[in-house]
Amino acid sequence: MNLFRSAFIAAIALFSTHVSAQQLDGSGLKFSAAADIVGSYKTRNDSTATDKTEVREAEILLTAPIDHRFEGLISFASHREAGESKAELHEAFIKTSNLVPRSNIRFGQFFLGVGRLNRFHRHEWNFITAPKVQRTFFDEEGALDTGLEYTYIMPLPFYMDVTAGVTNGYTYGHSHDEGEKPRQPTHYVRTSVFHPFFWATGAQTGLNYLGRTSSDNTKMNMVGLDFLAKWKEGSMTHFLLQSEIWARRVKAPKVDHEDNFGLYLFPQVGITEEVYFGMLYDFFTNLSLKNALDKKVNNSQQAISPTLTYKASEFSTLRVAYTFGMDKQDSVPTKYDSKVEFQATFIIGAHPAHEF
Amino acid sequence: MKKLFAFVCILLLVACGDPKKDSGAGSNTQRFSGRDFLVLNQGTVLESTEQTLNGTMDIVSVEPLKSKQSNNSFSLEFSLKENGSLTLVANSDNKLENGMNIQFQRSGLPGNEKLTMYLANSDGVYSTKLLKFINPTKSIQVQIEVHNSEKPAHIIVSEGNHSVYNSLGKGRGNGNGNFWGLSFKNAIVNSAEQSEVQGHNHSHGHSDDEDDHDHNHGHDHHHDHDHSHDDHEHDEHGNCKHDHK
Repeated sequence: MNLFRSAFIAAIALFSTHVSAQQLDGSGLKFSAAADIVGSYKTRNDSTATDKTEVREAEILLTAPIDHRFEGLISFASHREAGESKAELHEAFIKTSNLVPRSNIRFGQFFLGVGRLNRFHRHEWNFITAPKVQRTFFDEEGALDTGLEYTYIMPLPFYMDVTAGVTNGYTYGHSHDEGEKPRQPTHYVRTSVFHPFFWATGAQTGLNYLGRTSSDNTKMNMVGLDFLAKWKEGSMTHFLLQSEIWARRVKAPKVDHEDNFGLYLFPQVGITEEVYFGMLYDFFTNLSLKNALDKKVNNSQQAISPTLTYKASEFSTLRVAYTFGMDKQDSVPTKYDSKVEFQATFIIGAHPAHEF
Repeated sequence: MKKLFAFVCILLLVACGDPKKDSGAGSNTQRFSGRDFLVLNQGTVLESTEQTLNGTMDIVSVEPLKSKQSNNSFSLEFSLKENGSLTLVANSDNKLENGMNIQFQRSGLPGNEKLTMYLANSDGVYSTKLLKFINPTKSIQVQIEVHNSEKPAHIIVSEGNHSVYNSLGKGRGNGNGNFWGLSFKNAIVNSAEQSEVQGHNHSHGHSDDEDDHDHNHGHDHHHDHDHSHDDHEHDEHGNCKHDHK
């Protein structure tokens, strides 16, 4: 049993006995746990679905004020990989919002503050599976690293902030080793603004940049736009529109660069206060693709996923989605995918408030 | 609001296309196993049809992999003649260089034949495995997954329901291209199929690592195989490297 799995189990045992105690000792310690259970089933033989239900992720989260300046957050998560559940440290950072005026600072290991999906834990997403652009550019859940991130809230009559971060960059994406010291660490900038949008209750747009140069001098640069708008009345979200658009260039030594472009669009309508229906559209293309005869190949990977969600509260979600996907090269379909997915997520304990 | 939602949904509908069309390959190509291959090199070729390639050839699929960071599964059916070899090259350039190489080599005298698998990247061979349970004189069917989106590339080799090799924890490097192909010598190839697979959420049994040999620079390992290639080179530490050209 590895160190992190032991720590994960010990933390559950130890802190679960303190759930009620923490409410009495005044330390402000908040303990919560979340689970994400997903079933994926083929509706055609060549589908990528696994034909089984798994606990995709289980997480415990601890947050508390450290002192009058700083707060701390530690989370452990267990993910499925190679048929096994592997526990590991997810996030651990110290943060402050009252050390430097109009500034939030965090230092430690965290999901990089870029995009929309990458800044939120997967069990909080509005759909079941990551879009292709998220999986390819950020990994299945998100890009995670250790470093420093600084956010400054601009002194403007409207809300606008600028976030900049730099992290180790020894690895990026899914890695099975510790990686090597990069020539240029992972660095990113995001600027976001709240703005009016077609009578929406609230709308936020973010512009993003991320770069890194690996130890073998492979350069990666990404730019992206993230967008979220909500039309709410009381506690009900009548309509939600979420999207991200990303472009990436990867240039390795002695080979041609590869440019990729991807986006997703997710409109969702509230049927009742607890039932929502959304439609995820997913698009991805390799702009540099050529065949062995050096002829450019127009290509795309597209999918649509109608998604039905039942949320009894912000702490539980039941979801079912059907996905139809099609890959094309030179306007000719090369692959189809068709599957049904089921999801149940829940949060227990004192979870931090959800951001917009 | 519901009209706006319906309008957005209509914009998202995807049209169907026409059946597959030819890649436009020219005279230096070979149609095999349902796809076009570009012939890079060929030695003695006894047979080359859509169902069978027999002899010595280097071929690369005209249709590229979706991207350099793609994850793919390859199903191969082949047989090796005496001292024959077959190498799957994945995520390479269109000259089958800078890729991840998985080679099957038959060696040994009649009655004592052996099948050895070598894994190599652009730096050379980094792992060797003697495949004791596969008869090198019979037809061989293997499935090879190369997950090039992971660092290092994650390679899984299966023969039927038997897990042959899993590079988890011992992989080296990544392929630097989006092409794949075969380099074979004194072999008969009956099938070579490729399909994209999802990322690392897979389940495979643990392989028998008894005959795994991982190559570390500066260390002298005992290799339980014969070097029977016509050309091979040594790295700066004197360890064998295999030229897959």
